[in-house]
Amino acid sequence: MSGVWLLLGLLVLAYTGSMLVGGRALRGYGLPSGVEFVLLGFVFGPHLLDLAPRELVLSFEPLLLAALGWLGVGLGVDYGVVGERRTYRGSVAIGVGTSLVVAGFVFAVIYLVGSQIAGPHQSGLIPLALVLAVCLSETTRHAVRWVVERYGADGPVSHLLADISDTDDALPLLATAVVLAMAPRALPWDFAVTIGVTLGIGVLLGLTTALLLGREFRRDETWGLMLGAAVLGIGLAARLELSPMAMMFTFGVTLVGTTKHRKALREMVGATERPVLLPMLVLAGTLIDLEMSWQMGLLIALGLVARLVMRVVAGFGLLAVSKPSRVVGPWIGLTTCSSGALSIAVGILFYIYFPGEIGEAGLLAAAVSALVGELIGPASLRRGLHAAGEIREASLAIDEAPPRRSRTSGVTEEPPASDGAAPSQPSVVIEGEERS
Amino acid sequence: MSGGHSSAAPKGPAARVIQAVALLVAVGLTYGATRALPEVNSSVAVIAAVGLLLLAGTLLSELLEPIGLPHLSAYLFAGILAGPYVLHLVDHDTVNRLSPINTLALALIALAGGAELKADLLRRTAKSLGYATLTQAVIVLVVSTAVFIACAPYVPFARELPFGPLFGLALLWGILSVTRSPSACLGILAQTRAKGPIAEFSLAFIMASDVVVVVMLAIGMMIARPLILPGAELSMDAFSALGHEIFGSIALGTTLGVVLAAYIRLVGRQLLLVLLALGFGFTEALRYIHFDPLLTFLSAGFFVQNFSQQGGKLLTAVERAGGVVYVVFFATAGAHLALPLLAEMWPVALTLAGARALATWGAARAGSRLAGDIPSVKKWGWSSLVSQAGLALGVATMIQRAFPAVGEGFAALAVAMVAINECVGPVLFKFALDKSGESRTDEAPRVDSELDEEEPPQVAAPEPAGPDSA
Repeated sequence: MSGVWLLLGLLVLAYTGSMLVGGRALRGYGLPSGVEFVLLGFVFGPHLLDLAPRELVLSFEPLLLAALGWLGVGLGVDYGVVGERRTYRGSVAIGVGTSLVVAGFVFAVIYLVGSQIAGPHQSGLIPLALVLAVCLSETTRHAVRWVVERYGADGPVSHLLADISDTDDALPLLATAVVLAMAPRALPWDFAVTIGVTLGIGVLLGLTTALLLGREFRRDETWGLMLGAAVLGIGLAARLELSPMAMMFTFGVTLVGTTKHRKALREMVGATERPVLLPMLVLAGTLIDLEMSWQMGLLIALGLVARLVMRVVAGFGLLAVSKPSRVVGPWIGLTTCSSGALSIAVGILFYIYFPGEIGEAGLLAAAVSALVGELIGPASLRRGLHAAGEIREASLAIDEAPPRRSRTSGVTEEPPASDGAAPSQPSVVIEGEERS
Repeated sequence: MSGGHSSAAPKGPAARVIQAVALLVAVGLTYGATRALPEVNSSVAVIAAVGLLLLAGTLLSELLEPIGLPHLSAYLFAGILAGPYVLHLVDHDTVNRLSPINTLALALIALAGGAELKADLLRRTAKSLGYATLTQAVIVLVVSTAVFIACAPYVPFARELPFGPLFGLALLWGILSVTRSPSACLGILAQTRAKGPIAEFSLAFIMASDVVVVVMLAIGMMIARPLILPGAELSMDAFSALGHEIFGSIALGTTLGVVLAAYIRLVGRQLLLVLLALGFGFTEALRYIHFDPLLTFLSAGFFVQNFSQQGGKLLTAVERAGGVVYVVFFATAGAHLALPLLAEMWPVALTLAGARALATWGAARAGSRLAGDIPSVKKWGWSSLVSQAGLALGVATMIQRAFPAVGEGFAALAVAMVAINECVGPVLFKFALDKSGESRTDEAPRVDSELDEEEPPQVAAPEPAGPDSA
């Protein structure tokens, strides 16, 4: 396959993705993690059909980096907002805290076990443990939204889980700046300087763009300025071997934090997320390499188990801080087991910056985690929300008959509630605080 | 077309200061990065180059707007400044790697050009077009050929040539001089939103002249080959290939137009991605089968505009996609300009460019007189014909490949002349549109709310993810 054909294939995928965003597609297709696209890429890749050799895919490195950076912009611009509402203040601490605990535990397990077994990983054990920890830290917001949307869940628990899955993205995104500061580099910058430059450029470009956007919002002009600033930032990150995801996440957060056009920006950038994600996931699939030492395989497996264990443990913490979630029961942690596009994107980033076993391990771990999370997360979440009384009985029938989306408005035609009552008003209660 | 900010409102001093500071930030960051790590994988450097050219081009065009400089010229200027001969923020290799952007931009330009050509407009201007095509082709060709022969003693690669090869080369130079710049024309028209006889004439003439140049080049190559290459014979094979190329391109372009019109009518969404696929993929396929991409896309745009109801939608989509692409395209063209070469050859290049401009002016006057054009076209119709850009460079490259012994010097001189015309032409055309009152830049700018009312965004607002989420 030549580069042009691969590019056309990616454009077709982007087209598919954008059509799905556009709302004409019926609900009920696809998986929340997007792991089926990774598998598709794996089938196309060198292990099976070999239609997209790894060298060819890597010749698209600039596009991959641009996609990763743009994903960072999207997550930054959308950070702290779920649908039309802002996330609850405390959810940032809970989301980031949970991810941090999970990542810390995974790191500890990999480091402790890895130092006990001899193998090729020994030379870079700390970076390896960090890479796996970051790749296995997040809960994909798509999975939570998937269940919430599919079953029409509405209530404090679904809001809380949606908020956590949204806000915990900050950890893996920012952690990439830290991990890449440990990657082999041409620049002799010290660790703190590297991280500072990564985040500093993001903030500077975000502020500059916000100033340039001014008071009046013009869509076309905004596209030119925002794309220019974002692509420049991504390019600088790529040139200086910094994390484009961390830099662009900072850019996005700074931009929406300092401009009054945040809603319009979210709309603009949000619409581009899916067209960027699908090709990226397929490319990730083509890069997955199963050939590795048994020690590395063991460490990846241990990392995955550690993630699940710590997610369950973290669930108890959640029960402690959120009264409404207590009705879900002790297994609430399993509802946050899904991982997806962000983890895989982080895996790709590490694959590019850590050539060899470390990068390969990160990407593989992220993909397998998405697959495992797919089996556990959505089902647990559905059960949990049902137990919390946030899923109406009628909604459970959706599995048999997915709701149709209006062709003209794009609005889902919800099945009528069995009792004919209006949907409940959302409320979030965390340790005595309530918000409607 | 002239960038995403063609409809920007007049901005006050504070906004200009912010833009200047932003430009300094962008240049400063890139300067720091290139100095911190001068040697870098150029495929990675491409990303920063695109961002810098886009941002610097956009900001510089805003900053230079008060002095009346066209946006397009500002993009070129930004490219020159950032390019390998001034600040060296974008190096040679990176500029070459940006060629896919040029491919995309040329496809969009041709599509837009075709879609701007309304059959009604062609009918109204048929007489003017006919005479102008004839006079421009003959007078510019003859004058440029003659001046090239006259300048030969001062042209290093032509100095020693006997008359036969020199005439062959001069003939090719004459044909090169007949080429115009559709991109510059469309860029200025989009920025000024000009409406009127000069705008209509320029658009129709420049788009149609592309076909004329293709035919002239085939004939010129056929004549020049036996003159320049010892042992080569006059061959009519070129005509066979030419017929294949022209009719094939038009036929395929018409088919593409049918498909595009049907797509816009039946689906009508994600045109940006469709245009990207066409610009990259379809162009590659056209090159493979030796069809002319410019002519194909021109025909497609023309079909959509004149044989379906979808012309307006196509134009809007191309303008939106092009808003960003053209900034990078022209800035890249600026970065491509070989300034040392221009410094070396400027006296000859300036003479040849001056002669071409003079011949263009004279031919336009003659054509207008014969066609009985209205005074404004008589006076300013030539102003849009001075610009040269991608098409001229493409022709020069073809000649370079066909005649390697003299081609390198020929291409270098062509680049030098194009550099002059590229800088002067757009300024001249904008000046003419402003003077004749066809520019409409003083109209109220459109803000996003108006845009939204006119047409719904192509992609729906994000919504909570469904099971189709990735």
